[in-house]
Amino acid sequence: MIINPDGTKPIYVQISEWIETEILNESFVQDEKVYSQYQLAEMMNINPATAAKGLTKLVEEEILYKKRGLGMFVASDAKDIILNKRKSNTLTKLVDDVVAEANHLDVSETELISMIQTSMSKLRGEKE
Amino acid sequence: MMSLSEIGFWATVKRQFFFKVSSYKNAFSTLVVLQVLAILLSMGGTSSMGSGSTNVFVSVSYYSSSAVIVFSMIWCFITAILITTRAYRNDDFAFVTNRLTQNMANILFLLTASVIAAITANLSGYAVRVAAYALHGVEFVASPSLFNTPGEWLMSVSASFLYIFLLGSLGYILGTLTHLNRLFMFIIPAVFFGGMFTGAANDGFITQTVLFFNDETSFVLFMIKVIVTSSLLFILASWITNKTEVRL
Amino acid sequence: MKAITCTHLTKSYGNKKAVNDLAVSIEENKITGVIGRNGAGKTTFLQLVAGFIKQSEGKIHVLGEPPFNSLKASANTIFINDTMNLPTSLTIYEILKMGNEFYPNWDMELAERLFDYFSLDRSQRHDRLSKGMKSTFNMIVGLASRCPLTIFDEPTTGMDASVRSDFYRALLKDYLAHPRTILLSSHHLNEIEELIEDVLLIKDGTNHLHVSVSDLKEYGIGVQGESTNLEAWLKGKDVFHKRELPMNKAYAVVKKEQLDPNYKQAGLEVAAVSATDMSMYLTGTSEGGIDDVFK
Repeated sequence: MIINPDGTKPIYVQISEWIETEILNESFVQDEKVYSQYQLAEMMNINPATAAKGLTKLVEEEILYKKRGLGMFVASDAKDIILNKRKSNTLTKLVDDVVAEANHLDVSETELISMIQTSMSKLRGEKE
Repeated sequence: MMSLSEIGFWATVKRQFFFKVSSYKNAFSTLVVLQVLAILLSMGGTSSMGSGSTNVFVSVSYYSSSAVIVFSMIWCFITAILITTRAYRNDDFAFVTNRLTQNMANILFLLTASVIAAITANLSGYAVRVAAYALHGVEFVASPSLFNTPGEWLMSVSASFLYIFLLGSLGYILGTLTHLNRLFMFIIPAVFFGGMFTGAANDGFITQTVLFFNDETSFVLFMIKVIVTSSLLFILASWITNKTEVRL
Repeated sequence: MKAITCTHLTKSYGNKKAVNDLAVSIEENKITGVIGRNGAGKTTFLQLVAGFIKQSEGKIHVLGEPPFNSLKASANTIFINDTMNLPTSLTIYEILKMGNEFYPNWDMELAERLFDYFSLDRSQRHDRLSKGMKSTFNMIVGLASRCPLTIFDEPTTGMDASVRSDFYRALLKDYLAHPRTILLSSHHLNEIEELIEDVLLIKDGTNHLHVSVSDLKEYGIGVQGESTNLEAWLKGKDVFHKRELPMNKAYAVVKKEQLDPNYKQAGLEVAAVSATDMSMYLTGTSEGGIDDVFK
């Protein structure tokens, strides 16, 4: 992963999102220890306090849990939490954008729905 | 947390001193050049007189190291001015120092420089005599042999050291004053030459000052005069520089 | 514990106050970016911290005591600047050995490795080095000294891009291994944004803002829309930056907490502002820009 400093997302958010993705990809499984703030700092070339902030964010969201003196570990329902969060945040936002753009281009609701269905079947087709 | 280091005053002075010896080492090559030059100038004898009758001609010449000592005094004076310049002072602050340790290390350096200059100047006196003996085949009159007794030699070295160190302390205070305010660059020479030419020949301020040291017949008193004077000059210089800033 | 605390810190040169009534307290073992325009007073502030100069008014404590003329502060602080004085009668390798004599935490092995890595010539003199090489050498001195307070004032002047990134990487790695208080000044934040934890923005010789980088990133928000609508919406808000856009549109940056929800009705769009842009708006003149010169 490459940190994008010019991006509008704070670096610690980029870090926590990257760890989330790693959990979704099962690079880290349940009860496995994730990177320490120092490892993250070294890997991503960032300040360790920033890395710690990214980890703390995940602890607050109960995606990770802390073991005193041992480090941070992946919570049992981490994947579900991440998926739900992304659904509600990312997907809702994307859908908002799609609807807004459809409005702009005079695309009707039914038209939009059928476009989504086409896109989904395309994805399914590729998978099979 | 990285623990803070406590550092002693004298330990810092010692380090600063060794730093100065190695970084001002060029000054010593200048000393060698100046002394060699002085030896060459003394070759013909610093002064001579002659008298003769029809058959005999007697020529008396002084072959001494006094020129070398005078050159060494000038060298120490200039070196002292040089180490008070901003570039040299700022160098110290790249490493660990405060203004007091800096002045202490400078004084120690000038002491060392004066000792070295005094010893080499006196040794060069022998070089002058040996050369004179070899080149002109002169006979030594003033000192019965080519070499002095150790006691005389030590006395001679000490006296030259005191003269050289006195000039060093003078250079140090003048350099410091100039560092304090550029105006001193004009004021000091004006006072110096003014003092030389005003007043009766023997009453001038400069003359009086020189006589104060030069006319002293007791070595101990002379030594006390020099030590007290140079100490006062160094204390004044330290007091002045205690508030100077490092400008980049 | 605080590494640096200042109150009413002022340094005057004649009539000009290079540092003016500055108050800040910097915690130990943090990397703080000191950001400001040229002439804002960054270097003067850092020189006060290093004990090189004495304040005209106010108080400053560094590592527990006033730094001017303090041996303890001198032994525990190093100040690296592109105009720093180093003896020209010594070779640069001899200077490293001298650093080893003076600084209690000096790591000679690190110094030598960096020296070789950047292929510096042992017999070279400091005043003969090119600008970039000089900065590289000074940086090695700054890193190897491992002073509990390490100050880098515009350390990358003249360095090429690859040396720059090597330097920041080296600084980070050594900081991870040996945490210490580091002040890093720069006029562009983007270069050091990832590396630092806090930002101290200096404007007109005083502490303009002292926050964490992530807070700076969320400090302001950009708003864009029809000029007239935007103008009306901006009333009563603190505007950090404003510029005209083509088609009678305009862009403004306001404090994020002042973003009231009615911006949508005004037909305005919002976007986050990067920390670098934010620091530029905060340290620059608030209104107008280069475009106004060409009006």
